[in-house]
Amino acid sequence: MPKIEVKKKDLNRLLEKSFNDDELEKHLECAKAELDDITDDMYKIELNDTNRPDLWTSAGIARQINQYLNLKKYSYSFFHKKSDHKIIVDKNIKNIRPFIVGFGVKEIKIDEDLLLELIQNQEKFAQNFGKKRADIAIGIYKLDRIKFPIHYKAIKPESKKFIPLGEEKELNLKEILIKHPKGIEYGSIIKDHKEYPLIFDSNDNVLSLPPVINSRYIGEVETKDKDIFIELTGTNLTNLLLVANIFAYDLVDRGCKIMPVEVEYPYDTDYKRSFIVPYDFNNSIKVNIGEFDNLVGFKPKPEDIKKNLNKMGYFNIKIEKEQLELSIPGYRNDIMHMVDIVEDYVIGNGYNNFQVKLPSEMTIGHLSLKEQFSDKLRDWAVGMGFQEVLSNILTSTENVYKKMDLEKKEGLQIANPMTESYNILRNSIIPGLLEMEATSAKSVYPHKIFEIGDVGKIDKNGTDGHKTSMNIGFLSAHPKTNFSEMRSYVDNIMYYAGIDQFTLKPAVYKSLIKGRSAEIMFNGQCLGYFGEMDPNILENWDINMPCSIIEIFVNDLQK
Amino acid sequence: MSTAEMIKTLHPFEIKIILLLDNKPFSINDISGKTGLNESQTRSGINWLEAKNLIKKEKEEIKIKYVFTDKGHEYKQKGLIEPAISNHIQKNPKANPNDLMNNLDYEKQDIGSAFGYLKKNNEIIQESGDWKISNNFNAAYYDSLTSVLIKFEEKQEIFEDQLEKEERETTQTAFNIPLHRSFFKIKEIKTYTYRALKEGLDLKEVLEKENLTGDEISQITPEMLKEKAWKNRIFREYNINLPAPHILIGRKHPYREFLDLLKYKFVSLGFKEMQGSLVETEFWNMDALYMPQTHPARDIHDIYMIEEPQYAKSIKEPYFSNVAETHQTGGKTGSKGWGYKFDKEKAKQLILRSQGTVLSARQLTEKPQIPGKYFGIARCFRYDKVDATHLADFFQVEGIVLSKTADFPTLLGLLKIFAEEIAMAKEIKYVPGYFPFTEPSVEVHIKHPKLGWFELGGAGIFRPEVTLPLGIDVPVIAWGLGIDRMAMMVLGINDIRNLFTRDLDLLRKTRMVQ
Repeated sequence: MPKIEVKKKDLNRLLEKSFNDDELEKHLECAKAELDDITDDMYKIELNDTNRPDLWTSAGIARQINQYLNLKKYSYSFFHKKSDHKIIVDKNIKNIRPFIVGFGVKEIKIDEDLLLELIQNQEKFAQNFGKKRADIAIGIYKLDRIKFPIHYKAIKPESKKFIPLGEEKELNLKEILIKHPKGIEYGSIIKDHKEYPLIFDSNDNVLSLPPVINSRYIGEVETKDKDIFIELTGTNLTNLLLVANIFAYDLVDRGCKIMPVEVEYPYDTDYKRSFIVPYDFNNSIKVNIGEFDNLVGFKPKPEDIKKNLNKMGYFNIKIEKEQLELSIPGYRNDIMHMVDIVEDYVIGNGYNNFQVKLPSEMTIGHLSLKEQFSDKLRDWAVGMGFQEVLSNILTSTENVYKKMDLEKKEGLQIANPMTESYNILRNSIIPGLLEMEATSAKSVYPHKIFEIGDVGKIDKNGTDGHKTSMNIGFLSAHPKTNFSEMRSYVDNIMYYAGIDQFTLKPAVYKSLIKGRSAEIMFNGQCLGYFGEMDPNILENWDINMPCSIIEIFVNDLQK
Repeated sequence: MSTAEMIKTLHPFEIKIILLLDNKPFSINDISGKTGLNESQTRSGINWLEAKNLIKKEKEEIKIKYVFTDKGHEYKQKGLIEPAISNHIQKNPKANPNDLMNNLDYEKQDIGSAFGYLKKNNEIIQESGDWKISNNFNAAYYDSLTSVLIKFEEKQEIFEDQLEKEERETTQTAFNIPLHRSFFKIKEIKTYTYRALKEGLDLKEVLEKENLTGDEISQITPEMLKEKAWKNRIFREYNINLPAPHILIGRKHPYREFLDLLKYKFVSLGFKEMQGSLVETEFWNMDALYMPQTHPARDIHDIYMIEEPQYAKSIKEPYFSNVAETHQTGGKTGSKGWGYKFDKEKAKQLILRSQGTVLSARQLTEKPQIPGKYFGIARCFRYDKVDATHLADFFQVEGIVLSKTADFPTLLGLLKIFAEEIAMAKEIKYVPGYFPFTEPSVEVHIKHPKLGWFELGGAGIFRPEVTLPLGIDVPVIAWGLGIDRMAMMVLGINDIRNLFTRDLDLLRKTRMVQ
């Protein structure tokens, strides 16, 4: 979930009213946002709705709060049908980075706070929404240094040189990818292509090498700049238009004027071959008011619907008979179903203003059979004097294989582990118990511990290829522990589980001493094993106390 | 401490000693024997009484104590060597030391030493080649020494002042004779004289009045019961405030006890338990829950992928196709869908279960009861760095409520029940939340007396994009509770890693604090 930092001063000039920290925290709820941290001049805000990038900016948050509290009525008129300024797309870019959108902004008053905000917006959209620039990259430029039309075209990496941001001298595109920090960071997105995308103007001055770096001449925006140009390139045109719109709405809220730009493609897009940015999606949705009844438990009055949806930023609302039709603000693309409208209605109404209803239907509760049996086993184990322990199910191959002196097999290993400490699911309870024993040598003896829980294994013959099952493991550590002690526990468990006819078969396990270990057999099936731990294994765990163990396969025992 | 309480603290040794107290000074030796206690029992009793200020030390003196040696023991058995020499040379006047050594059953060195001493002391004299016993032969001393040895044999250790006058002189003489000196060792011992204090004498009176003798019954034995030996006897009253030995007990894990509490709560509220697999497909874990395949939380850095096998062989139809279609176009759900090309291979990718909601998704396809309530306590895995607030695997409690009448107010009501019944919260508030699979979505916050407001859990009504492709056409409330925080509170734990502690001592110590 994205977190943003907003300057208190900046947020306050956008809000119609100033709030103290507690009030702000409360008002942020309508934006599904939380105050994460507060410093002298800054709020850190966490945004929970990953589908509402329009709320990831201070202007977006301020707009939501102003509307929710009926402090300001917003209206926008920057969508145009035509423009004198163009971006011309070359067909050779189609398979490299197919889409570009852009527009101009005039009469902007850039101060330090706004510059920081713009850089953060750029960053958050490109990182969180744009998959680290792969899907969306954003550039901001000095508008007065650009001669329209702008061209977007793929060119040979060595065929063009320009001075990128943060450099003193000209580099060709290939050199930028190798030498420039941003080239090193983002170059992999384009480096496998024979040609790299380039944006340049009619004076042949480079705007940028997307998604890597702007030119220094046009692309270094400063606080004194009054007019800027914003451009976005990427792979998903809808998202590019959405983010461009969010910038436009935000900047208009800050008193700027929008200079629309037409983009011309030589190939088909979801928005035809040519369109104007900012783009008027002109989306609307129809909802049968009866549907509200199903979800909120009553049928709201039309004026009630209007009032609450106004608070959430919907203004063009028509209600005829049972039909509600409303247009969706151009900064939102998350309305997929009428339930999304109902939720906005509910938020508009305030969650805490509903009369709550207790579930009234009779249902019968019960535990799963597995859990019921596991509870019994735990009771017996405790009755035999064992302390229950809990271990991570995600553990290490070091514990599962190496310290147990086992060959790698049947363990479900992680393909992308974060660390080697958590790279495999446990397939036995015993290593976890030994790990506990190894770190508890200072505790008063005897140590009698047990754990019951899920283990995971590869199951080549099964339909899923893997299997989760339940095991119970016991470990007894003290100077006199032996096979016979463990046999008494096994006898008890088998007796109370109703298995009288089990037999013991000599076990050949590397972890157990030969001749002092056994498999518990019943109807030709092995229900578990027990015995004295081999000192070679204890040495691997650095344990200096004799240990005996039992492990029982609960699923098989329960049958 | 009252006298009655004081009596309960008295050991039988102490009682026996108190009963012997009078105004005269006494030493350990004075009363040991009279009490039927041996010396070390008496010493313990006296030390305890002194610590309780019932008697006091009056005088300290250093006494000589004789400790009997093995050599002494040997000569007590065989008899002294000097009378033996005397006998032999009376019969064989010509005997020389060598003859003596060959005929007498003593160590040669001892024979030489004794013979030399007798000769030097003129107890034997040689006249014209024959040995004769002279008048100087100290028969009385040897007789006395023999009886001293017998007395020593009885006591092993004896204070000088416990010997009779003659015995004392004999012992002193023996110390001048090298061979006899080896029969005992001398120790200087500090001894004390005690005197009863008033409190001790008062206590004696009470003991006598109550007929307590120190022979009251302490441990009841099966024999006593069988033989009815307890009848007409008094039971010694114990000091019930004495610390008892620590015993190690078998016990459930405190965190699991907490989870047990939760699961029985859910059952009592009419919920059936769901169980599932540790390994899941991306399909059930995410696609079925309408999380788009491009969702940032589905990145390789957010979920654990299984290395082998990498993919499930198949996914059950018609759910597979229904869900794919819903993602792409909304299918028959009335939604516009996510509008991307659904990758069926990615859906089959095997991963570690990352959210308990997967149990609910699967439950929808297993002919759930309507109305029906389900819950699951599932171990889930999250791609987090393990630290004081994050675990690699942890428990999630999740569930669903299916009902034709389930709506937003019912969802709020359900959360109210959870807050009141499970978290014992008095104040709750609802806040808009976001989950990809529910709309509307709610977070429920509760006020904890110490920690203030915190998020108890999240809930919502499953989107039609979730329920319809899985064949369910009634509203389904889905909920999940964050229980780690609650558990840490209940168990008094500050570091979440301690829920899975590897320290047996810590585990033995941890208990529910609420």
